[in-house]
Amino acid sequence: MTPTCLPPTTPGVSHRARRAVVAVLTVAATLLATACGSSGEGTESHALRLLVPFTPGVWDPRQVSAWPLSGLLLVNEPLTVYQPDGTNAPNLAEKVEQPSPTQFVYTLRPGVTFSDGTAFTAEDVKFSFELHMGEDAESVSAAYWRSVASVDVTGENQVTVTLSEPDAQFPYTVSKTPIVSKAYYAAHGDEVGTSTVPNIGTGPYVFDAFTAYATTTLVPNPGYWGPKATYDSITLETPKDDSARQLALQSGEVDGIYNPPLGQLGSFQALPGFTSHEGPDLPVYRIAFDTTKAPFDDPAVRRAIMHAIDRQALVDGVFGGNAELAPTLVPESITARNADAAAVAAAYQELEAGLTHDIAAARDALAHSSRPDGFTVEVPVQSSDPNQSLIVQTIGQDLAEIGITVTVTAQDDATFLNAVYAEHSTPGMVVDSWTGSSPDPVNMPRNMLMPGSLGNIAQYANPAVTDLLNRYQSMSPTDPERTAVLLQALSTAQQDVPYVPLLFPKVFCFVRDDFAVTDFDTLWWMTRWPEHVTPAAP
Amino acid sequence: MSTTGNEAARDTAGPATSDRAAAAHRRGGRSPALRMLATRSVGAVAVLLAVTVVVFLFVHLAPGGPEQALAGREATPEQLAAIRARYGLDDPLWQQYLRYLGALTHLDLGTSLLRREPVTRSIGQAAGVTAPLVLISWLLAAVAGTALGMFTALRAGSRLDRVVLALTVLAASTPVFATGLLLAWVFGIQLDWLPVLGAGRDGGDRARYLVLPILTTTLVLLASSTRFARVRIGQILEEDQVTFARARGLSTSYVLVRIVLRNAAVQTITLSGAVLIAMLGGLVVVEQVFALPGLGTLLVTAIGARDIPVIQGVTLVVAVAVVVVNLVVDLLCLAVDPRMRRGLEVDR
Repeated sequence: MTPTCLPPTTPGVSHRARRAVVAVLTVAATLLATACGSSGEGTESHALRLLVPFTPGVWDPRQVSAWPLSGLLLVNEPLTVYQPDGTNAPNLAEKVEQPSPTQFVYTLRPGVTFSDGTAFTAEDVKFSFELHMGEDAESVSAAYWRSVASVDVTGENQVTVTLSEPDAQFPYTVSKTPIVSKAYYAAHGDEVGTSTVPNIGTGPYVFDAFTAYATTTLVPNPGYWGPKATYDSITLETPKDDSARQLALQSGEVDGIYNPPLGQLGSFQALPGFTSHEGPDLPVYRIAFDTTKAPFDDPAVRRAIMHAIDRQALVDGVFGGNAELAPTLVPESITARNADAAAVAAAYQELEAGLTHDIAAARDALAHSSRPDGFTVEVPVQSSDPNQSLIVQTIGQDLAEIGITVTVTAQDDATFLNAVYAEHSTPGMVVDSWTGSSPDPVNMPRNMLMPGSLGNIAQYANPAVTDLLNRYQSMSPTDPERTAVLLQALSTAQQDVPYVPLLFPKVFCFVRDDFAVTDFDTLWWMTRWPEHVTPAAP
Repeated sequence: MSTTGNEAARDTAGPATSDRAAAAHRRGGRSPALRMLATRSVGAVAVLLAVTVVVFLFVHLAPGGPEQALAGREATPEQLAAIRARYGLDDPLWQQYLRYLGALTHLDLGTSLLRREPVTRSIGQAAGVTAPLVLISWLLAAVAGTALGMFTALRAGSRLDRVVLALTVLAASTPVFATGLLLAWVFGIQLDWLPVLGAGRDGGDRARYLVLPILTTTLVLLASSTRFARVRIGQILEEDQVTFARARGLSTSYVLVRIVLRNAAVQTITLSGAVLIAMLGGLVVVEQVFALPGLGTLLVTAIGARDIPVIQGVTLVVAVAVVVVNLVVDLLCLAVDPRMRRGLEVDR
């Protein structure tokens, strides 16, 4: 017997220990066998489970814009539906008339009901639109409703919208505005759209399950007035972690991912069994100069930086070729969508020619500026977008060649948004990514070049540019001169260098080979997109 | 004046303890544990009050506010100002704090600005994911760690002991996200046994989705609990009392349970409490790896959007959990170790 501890070979202990181990293993195996099951529920032929970049905290139209509308517009369908060819098709509105540049008359489809069985009326449309109106509207889409003077019910099935001024974006605004039930909102107040009070609409799907910022499941609306829903269930998931996205795709739990982070493209492209689809994206990565702060109030300094930067190196190095040079603030594909493509292409070539990478020209511009000996500047970036940090580090090397030292500061989203867009409290040079949420090409230029717009972080004000953008707004969509006016505004602004447009990233989706994807582009979320992701023929 | 309970206590605790118990009774009749509980409760309220002040100040003094998330990137300054006014965010800080404190007295944590639901509901739903994850992992780690610690302590120096020690060092030094990824890759991808994304729906479905996160957390915790139990039990096994007990012919099970485990209980309970508290912070990583909508994710999302009521609510709930765990640990230690109870009486 060992005096200081029990002998390892004590028969009683060994025997009991063995029995205990066996018992534990047996229980564990039983539990595991019980707990385990097929994780392949997403493989049903009529179920679709996708990863998307964002799930909102509440499915209320006031708090949902851009990609997340991909879920809401299937439940709370709009009056008109955006088509991949850039047009708007009738939907809840059977007919759309525009008797004057500032008036739209919508004739509603009769006999439509919400998913709770109540009738869809013109009052619901008026209520849905007015949710976004007013200076104090708590709506992320309020900017798109500022041009609306009134919404009136002008007939049993008719709604008339009167604008205070012509607005080229308005038809698209209607296509991305979910229609809700006025009576349902009256009954449930601000809780509509939460997990306990799911929103109801007239669309082909209804909400089945929802966890804020995480996951949403839609199932078909049995009383839908239109064609049968494509899927028995659609689940949209938003994992925050890169590895979680990768694991979800690798395990086969999901059928694809839309708008994946560009930093993960390489790993997704290597996945067997998935096909990649791509298109030009709306966001523009840009360098913005606060034109009211020294030394960026000096156009020569801005021009020096513009010439010093090798934008192609950013496309190749930071984005691995999955982007294209940005000659201006809005992608060519958007500008050319309803215009003379050749004329737009020529104008874009000219704009690109003004953004040459020329170190000698950069040194010369700086030598004739208020800071001929260079300076140091701290550039804030959003930590949630690693590309911004990489861009600043890369251009820092370019700018070092002309004597400008750049340091990068990563900030969380709220801090960045406050400093850059609200307070204008940065040192004066910012790298950001600004995206539009309307198919009309004037959307992004107006946000970035009009005085007072939140995207105008340059605090840029050129009356000539403002006049041109206002003139564009007032022109008829069919006016052949309209695009020329926009291009002239962009060209005029470029001479002042409030921004250096860097690049337009591409947008991707990766979908399992079991599915066929058609008409994928940056505005997929505005379309009736499940009809463009169909189970492939066996 | 004496009661049956006091007489029983004297019978079992010996003359000195009996005198102290009688003295305690004369001074008011409350047990030392109850007095400790009362004192600690007062202290806990003070701690929680301090937490509310600190969190409130941090949240309100941080740059940016919820109005930007509510109004979006294309909001006008007028729109932002209107939203700030609507939620009273421009009021003096002391007024906002008093409003918050006033609501707290009614157990009202407010309404989430971005989820549009009571914060208690958001926390309840998140806790439905986090609570089973924390408690099951903690329980598994505590029980299995103690068992493994005893198993290896009884075989100190053996090959098995060294293997277990090496594995615990490996598990302890591996980042939790790496452990999670490895398990997900093995059980979710290679074997296709378990889901790796999300928390599933309630009930049995959720249990299936939580297996891998629980396994990940347990493995990480198991390392520290095993190593601790191994050392502490090893120390007790070398004490004279164990040798004498064995010399008196007491059975192995009696020695292990009544002497070894009982002597290790205070330290084991204390460590378990500390582990449970530490888990609350570390769970964020596990939740992110497996895309679980738990309390960690709720807090991270709320901080990103400056959802002030949710930030304050979650931090307060976590603070309450920490206080309660510490209190329970102290009470358990008192329950299992009479020397500590006597210590309380002496302290008086």
